Amino acid sequence: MKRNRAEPGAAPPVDPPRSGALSRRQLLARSGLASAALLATAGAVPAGADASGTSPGDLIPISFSGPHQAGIATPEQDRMVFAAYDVTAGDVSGLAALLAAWTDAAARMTAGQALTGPGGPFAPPADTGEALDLPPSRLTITVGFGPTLFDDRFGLRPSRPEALVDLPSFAVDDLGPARTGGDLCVQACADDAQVAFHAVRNLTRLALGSATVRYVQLGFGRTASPGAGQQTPRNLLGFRDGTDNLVAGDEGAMQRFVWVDRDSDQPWMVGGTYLVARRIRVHLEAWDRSTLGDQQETIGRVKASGAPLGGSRESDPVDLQALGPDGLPLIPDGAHIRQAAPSTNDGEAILRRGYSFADGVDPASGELDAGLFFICFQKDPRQQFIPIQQRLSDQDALSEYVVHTGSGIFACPPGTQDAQGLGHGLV
Amino acid sequence: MGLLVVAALAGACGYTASARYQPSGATPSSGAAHDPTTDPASATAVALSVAAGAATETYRTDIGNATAAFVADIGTLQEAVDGGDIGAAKSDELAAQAQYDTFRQLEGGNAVNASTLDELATEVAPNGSFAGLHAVERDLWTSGNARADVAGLSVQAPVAQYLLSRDRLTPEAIGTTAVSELGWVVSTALPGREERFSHLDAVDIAAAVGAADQAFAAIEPVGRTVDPDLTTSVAQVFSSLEADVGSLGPPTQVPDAAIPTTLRLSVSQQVDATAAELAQLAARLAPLGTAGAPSS
Repeated sequence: MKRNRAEPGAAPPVDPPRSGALSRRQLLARSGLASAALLATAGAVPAGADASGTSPGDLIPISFSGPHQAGIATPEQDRMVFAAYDVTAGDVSGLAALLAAWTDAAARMTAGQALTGPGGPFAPPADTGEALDLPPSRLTITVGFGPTLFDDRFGLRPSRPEALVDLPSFAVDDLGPARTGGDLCVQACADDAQVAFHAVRNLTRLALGSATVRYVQLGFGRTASPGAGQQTPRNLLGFRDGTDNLVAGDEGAMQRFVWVDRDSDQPWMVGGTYLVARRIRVHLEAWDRSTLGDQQETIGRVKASGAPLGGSRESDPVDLQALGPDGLPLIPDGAHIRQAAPSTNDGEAILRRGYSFADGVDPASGELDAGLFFICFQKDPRQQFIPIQQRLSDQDALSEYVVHTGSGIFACPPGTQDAQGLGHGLV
Repeated sequence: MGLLVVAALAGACGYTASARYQPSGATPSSGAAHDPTTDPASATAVALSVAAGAATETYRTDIGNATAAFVADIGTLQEAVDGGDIGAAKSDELAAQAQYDTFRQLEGGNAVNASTLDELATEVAPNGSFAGLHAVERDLWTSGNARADVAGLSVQAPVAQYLLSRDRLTPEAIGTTAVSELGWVVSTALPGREERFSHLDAVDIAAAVGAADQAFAAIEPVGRTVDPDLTTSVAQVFSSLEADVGSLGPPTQVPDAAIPTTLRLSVSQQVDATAAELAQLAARLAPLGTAGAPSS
């Protein structure tokens, strides 16, 4: 599938002003002040930009184009909007048209540009507008294809990767059908919640007639640190989350654990990865009344410092063999970090990139409906997420406090480059 | 001499502090300058030690009674199934389930035995087989053959009785066990996630709340010595909770769908409030020893 766009690496095209006045996003793009080199040299916010509350990093767009989709190895942003869709297009050409429209729109939005259309006072605005005065905010848009897309509707059954399996049930499941599955998914991440929401909102508008929204999940407070140099954030349990996460800058680890390679049974997936999303509700009330000692033994780390039990600093290696003076393991058998460790799971690891969520109150219990929207990326869920989660469901002490209320598995195709769009090689 | 008396009394009451778990050193909430719980020479400390031992023994007796009743209920269930009396078998299964709820949290340390007694269908390991109370529940409520599943229960129930007979829990551990039981009510029983075939989670709600209340009763005397105001507060919230649960109606006659949403919400919030207070009381009892260990 081809689409019209500028060559990769060139300054993104700028839509013409509607009323003669330039938006700040347009001003920045035209002046070239979005270039990283110039910003690094100037060390100041460009003229015309709103200096208050804007960090220089937010002014630099993250390219939608590349060998891999952005939003996977990208250092995690602060906000996320995740949406799953059911495709209603009548045939594969409709699906292809949708993906082409999404490719174009995603390229514009991640570049900090508004969407374009007929314009004028007698047409609905092509862009919903809430991001017009906002910087790119490191927006990334990542698209995935669910197992159900590969049924008989679009003739894609032969193209379904073997690794794109239906997830089995786990002991911690209480999955709501409305929050599970989906033919397509979109993960929009940005440092500004409004920019992330704007992206999903406009992609949803473009999908009218071709796809319907199955569910939307907002997330805040990144709970992983896939970027080297990022401080490990804390999750709603109050513990640092992501200490031993894969480092996205470790290309060897990414090739080993995340990116689909040429061994794939589906050539169109080479350079892609598999996304698993789990809505993990945490019984915060029960957690909050457990003792600090219990909490630390459940996780396997010191709450304040993040050090593994028996260690002194967060960066200390996790010693699963260490024994206490009583001869018992310092990190209990059921501790989360023990059960999730690669050494406990045949050396397998996953790239975690989740967010906290808080969706009000569960009307049945009056308790907070909050927790972790867990997202992970891997080369093969059959070898990675599924056996790891099976172990956690059965043996992780943390399972007492959580219930999984939503789930999805998606094949994220490789990035768009050389004028190819999303799903090239598939549709 | 006083110290020797304390030690002798502690040993006589079977009260032992696990070598692994040390007193948490939690600062008493009353902020008293002199903490009688930690002054071994104090006459109060002697009395506390005796009261703590009594709590341990009371709870051990309660659990012993529950496991004995559980074994008996399984036997009665076996007879009903063998005799083809499905109605009686259903009543016996529910009774056994209620007894299991009394010591459910203690089975956390006996994972294998627990899985043979009360595993949910969704918890069965990939290569495992579905067994225990819920398999029997499935058989009885969906017209299956319960004989094989009940036979397995008849073998495993006495194992639980034996394993739990060895436990000697400190007052703090009794309290935290009760807190966990209440947490299970909110996370599992109230949402209807336990009785997936009979849909009579009211049985578990009532039994689990009752079990937590019974555990509180075991530690109430020592609690009144350590922190009378907090103990009184816990007693009051338990009383409110029991009243809320009582308003559900006879548990075996209240299907999940018949529990009004407002009542479900009210019970849930009351459970959380009770658990929060009880957790504070358990923390106040920590200086008397934490966790517990099976007696050798």
